[in-house]
Amino acid sequence: MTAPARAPRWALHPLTTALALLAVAALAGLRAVTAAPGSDAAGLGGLIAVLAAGAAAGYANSGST
Amino acid sequence: MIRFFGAGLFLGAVLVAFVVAVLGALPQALVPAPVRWALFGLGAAVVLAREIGLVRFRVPENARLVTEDVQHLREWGALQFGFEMGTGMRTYSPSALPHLLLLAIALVVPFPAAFAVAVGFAAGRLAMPLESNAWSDDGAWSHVWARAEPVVRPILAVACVGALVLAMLAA
Repeated sequence: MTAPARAPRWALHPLTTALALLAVAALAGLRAVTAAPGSDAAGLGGLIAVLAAGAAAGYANSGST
Repeated sequence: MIRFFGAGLFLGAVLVAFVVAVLGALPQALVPAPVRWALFGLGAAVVLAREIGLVRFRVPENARLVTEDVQHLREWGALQFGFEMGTGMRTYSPSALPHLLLLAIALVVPFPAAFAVAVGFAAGRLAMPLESNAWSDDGAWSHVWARAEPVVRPILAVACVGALVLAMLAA
């Protein structure tokens, strides 16, 4: 019997999560701003950006658990 | 059990987003956009300063721990616990970012996008217990979080505020 595989520690670290959220927020937000106004790309970028904003707030509000 | 907790989180967050978005329809219809933007900008600056550590103040919170009863209700209890965490109305709030989300939904976020904010909030809230469980069984996660928190909180604040501002600039 082998122990179930765990995800690598760095992938689970809070700093990794925070940086990933920052990257998604920046990329999606910039895409929304630079795309043609009213285009699908602008809408999708904006949607992903607010999703990332919500996720950052939810993660920050978790405390340690 | 975590699935019920997650479902409760999503239900609670979506309910609050819906209520605030409905209430926010009034100021969004009546108050000129520059005024709403200025109010949101002021709130965002204050919250950002708090999360970075430049200023200290308490945010409104219903500082209660989950009751013993809920823990004995198994799946229903996990759902209820998640719901309460998702609404944010019956829990501690170590961050002011959820309050900023509510301000954004009330003042500047278009109605449909409020639900995206809620789904993101629930997903972010769910991520930490998932990571904690995957990290180890010995409770070491709390120490990891405590060490990372001074760096992580400002990054999350910049991500949240920056994403909201960019998304609203494009709207």
